[in-house]
Amino acid sequence: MMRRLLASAAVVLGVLALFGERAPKRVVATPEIAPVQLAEWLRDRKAGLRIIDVRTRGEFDDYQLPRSEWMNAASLAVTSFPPEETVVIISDHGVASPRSGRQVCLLRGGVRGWLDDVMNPTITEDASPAARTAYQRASVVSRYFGGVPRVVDTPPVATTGHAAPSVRRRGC
Amino acid sequence: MIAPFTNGESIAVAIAVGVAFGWTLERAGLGSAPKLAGQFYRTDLTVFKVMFSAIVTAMLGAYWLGRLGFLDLSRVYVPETYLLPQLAGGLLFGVGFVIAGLCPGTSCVAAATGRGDGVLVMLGMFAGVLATGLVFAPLQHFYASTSRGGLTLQDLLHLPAGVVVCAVVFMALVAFQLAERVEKRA
Repeated sequence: MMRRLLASAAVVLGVLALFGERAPKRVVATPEIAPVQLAEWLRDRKAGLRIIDVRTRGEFDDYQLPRSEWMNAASLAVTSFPPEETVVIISDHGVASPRSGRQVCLLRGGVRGWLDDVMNPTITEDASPAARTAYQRASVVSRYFGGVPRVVDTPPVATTGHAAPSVRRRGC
Repeated sequence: MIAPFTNGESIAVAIAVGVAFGWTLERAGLGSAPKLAGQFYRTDLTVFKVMFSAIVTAMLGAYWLGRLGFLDLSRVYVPETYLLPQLAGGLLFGVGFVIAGLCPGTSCVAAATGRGDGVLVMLGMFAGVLATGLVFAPLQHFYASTSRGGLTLQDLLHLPAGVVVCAVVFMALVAFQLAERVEKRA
């Protein structure tokens, strides 16, 4: 009798699971966050910050941001984040938004943006005052993470590619 | 709704879960090597039924607690898959299970209930852990090979989690029926 009851409960919960699933929407998480802002959050140990990397496992193993955790992109769509957490998603493509979470944003430029803006910030001699201010801000966190801010002769070429470059681990 | 635990609380919860697990194994009769060995002679499939029941119970519980917002599944650790090392480890585990009649969990239960074979299996287990640690350096490359990350059934099959949950439930029910038939024939 008890076994039949438990089996029936399992069947009911199993069948309900079929309808409990929500189809993940293929949308881009908004808003975006600048890599330097994320670096400052990391440096300041912002409470409730979670960095979710949804690139392939191999890409994550090759290079990962500090305190980031890997998650399958499909799993992200059905994940609920507590409202007190600030979730930053690292992806080279659009991602399905998590089921909940008040502050969910996408890292602008993905890992490439992090490498360009935080690990290798550059500026030219004739840069505008605004660019110099941004460079100073980036330089502080860049050095914190072991980056190398540089003054260059020509401005860097804008990176538009999705794939993160093959990089060697930095820092100690 | 999600309650974070301190380190001390986590350890207390782990101990409580471990004791409950051990008690359940003992009550299911899995502290007895002859009963476990019956699995391999197809005379007593209790191990299969208990373990599969536990898997289905945990799966339904985790899925629905996550779905209802009581459990943050993103914080549940999914062990990484290493195909060849885990196949080799599974084979070694199986051979040890057949020889000893006990697996690591049930050997602890057997030892806790005063069975000598359980104590010996536990000693063998610790000796194996020590031996692996001593020869780990040359094994390291193989140990980390064929990595597939935290692979789950829904990732592998490209199916929604709910479909996988439903399929596993029905698979379990069919398997239990077949197990009962096998036992009756024995």
